[in-house]
Amino acid sequence: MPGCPCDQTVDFGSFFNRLAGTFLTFATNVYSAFTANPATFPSFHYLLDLNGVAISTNSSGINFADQPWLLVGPQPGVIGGENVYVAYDDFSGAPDMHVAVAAATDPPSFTIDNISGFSTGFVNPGHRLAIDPVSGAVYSLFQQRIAPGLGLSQNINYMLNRSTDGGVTWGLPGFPFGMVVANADSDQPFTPKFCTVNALLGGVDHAAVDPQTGDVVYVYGNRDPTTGNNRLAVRRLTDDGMGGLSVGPEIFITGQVQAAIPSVGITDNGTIGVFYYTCDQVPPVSPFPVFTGHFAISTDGGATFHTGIDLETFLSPEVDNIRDPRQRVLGDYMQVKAVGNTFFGSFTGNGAPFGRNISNNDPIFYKVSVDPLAGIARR
Amino acid sequence: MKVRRYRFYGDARAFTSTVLLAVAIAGFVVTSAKADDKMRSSPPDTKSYSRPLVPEDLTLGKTAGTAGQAAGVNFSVVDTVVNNTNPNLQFTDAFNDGETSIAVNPLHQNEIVITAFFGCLGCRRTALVIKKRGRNLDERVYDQPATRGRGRARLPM
Repeated sequence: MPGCPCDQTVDFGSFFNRLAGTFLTFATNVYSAFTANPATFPSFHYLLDLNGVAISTNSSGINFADQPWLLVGPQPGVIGGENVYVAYDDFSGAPDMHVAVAAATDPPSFTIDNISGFSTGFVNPGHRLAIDPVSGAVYSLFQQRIAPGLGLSQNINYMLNRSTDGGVTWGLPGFPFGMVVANADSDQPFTPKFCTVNALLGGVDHAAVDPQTGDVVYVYGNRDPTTGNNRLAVRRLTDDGMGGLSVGPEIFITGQVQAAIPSVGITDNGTIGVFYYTCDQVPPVSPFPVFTGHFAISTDGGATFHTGIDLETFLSPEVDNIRDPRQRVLGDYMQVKAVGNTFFGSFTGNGAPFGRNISNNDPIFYKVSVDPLAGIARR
Repeated sequence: MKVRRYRFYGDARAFTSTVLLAVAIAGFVVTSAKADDKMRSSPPDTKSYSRPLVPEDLTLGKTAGTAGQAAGVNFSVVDTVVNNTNPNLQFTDAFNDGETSIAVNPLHQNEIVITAFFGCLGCRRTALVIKKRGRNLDERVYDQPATRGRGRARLPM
């Protein structure tokens, strides 16, 4: 695919037993497919037109789509049924936040493609999805830049919308295009680049749904107005009893550090895990920028993050290219997912600390399981 | 496990992007108009970032390890290029491997797929498929999936 690799995300269904993947082309359109056996020769099945050409997932924003994000989740009201959801940005609009939906059949046919909200420019929307694995409710989250923030930052509304009917309709009571979960300043996307070498063109936001309660745990960036540090915070959203969501207090996951690219997962027993990077040093303190990939753990519903693992500390393989504001040695996003009571994650890290004889970024895999009795009792 | 029921919000509607919209969010108005292309994440950064080691790669760099345990937490962290059934891959691989995505088969949790940017123009490697066998991670590298499929699907560029 000339000009690529481009954005791609993958997920497995719980019942369908197929790997689903979505891929952005250089043109830029979105194509999604299933494969029954990714461990053997490639066999991704795309929905084809009469000429044998794959049909795009994005029915809107042809040649203006960006950053598809795919998840497989329960089909509301259908026991054992699953849907494939692909969130993407349509930059021919605000940009417009779209979510395309296909029933989990091979190949997937995306018959629904509706707007879940609007971003505003000045930042990348950071459009992400989260699915309630019990009810099948789907959440679309994204950023709206409201105004300039302090320093060189942007003031951002972190938005959330919901569909409870498989993406046919979107809205929360009083907020058809999504509600504001938090407002904060954040240094993104270009000035400055994260740790001088990674433009943040995927936002600083992610969410997951607690399988036990249906609560939404929303992680976002929050620049401290005094120190200028871009910390990460979390808010828990609970059912307000009137069909809407109540937004809980802001809890900081990190201390006074420069943090970015968060991803959150929640296990079946309610343990919350958050992956993120910190920028630890930049030249001339060290010859290359120094990152750490962290994994923070909460066993009390997100009230405290009492345990953390420093997955890897590593040097960037490159220094700041001041001529390239879009430089990204890490990328726009990383992912952690919870299956049962185990977290599985991947991130971009340097192979040198693992024994490689060159400095080169590799896909790092980690697996974390937590004894829920080890920490503070769950609320 | 408790199954919840949502009250459906009857006024939720789908709109098309051609409609001018005003959303009252603390007086803030969002309109649907052509967005600033500079905020798109595409085109990606496809440069290959690779260099010789410097002492700080080893003095500052560290990992949590392949079999860690602390305060009721069990974890392992591995480099899929190093901990690989192809022992030569760590000496030959120079892709940047940015922006990873992961999928875990809930029915077979040792079947894990990780995709990443293999940062070269037109390169064909797309995904790592990891099946844990013993202590190693078995990497299966496969071709750009978009060019193959049922009926030899072609993907518009």
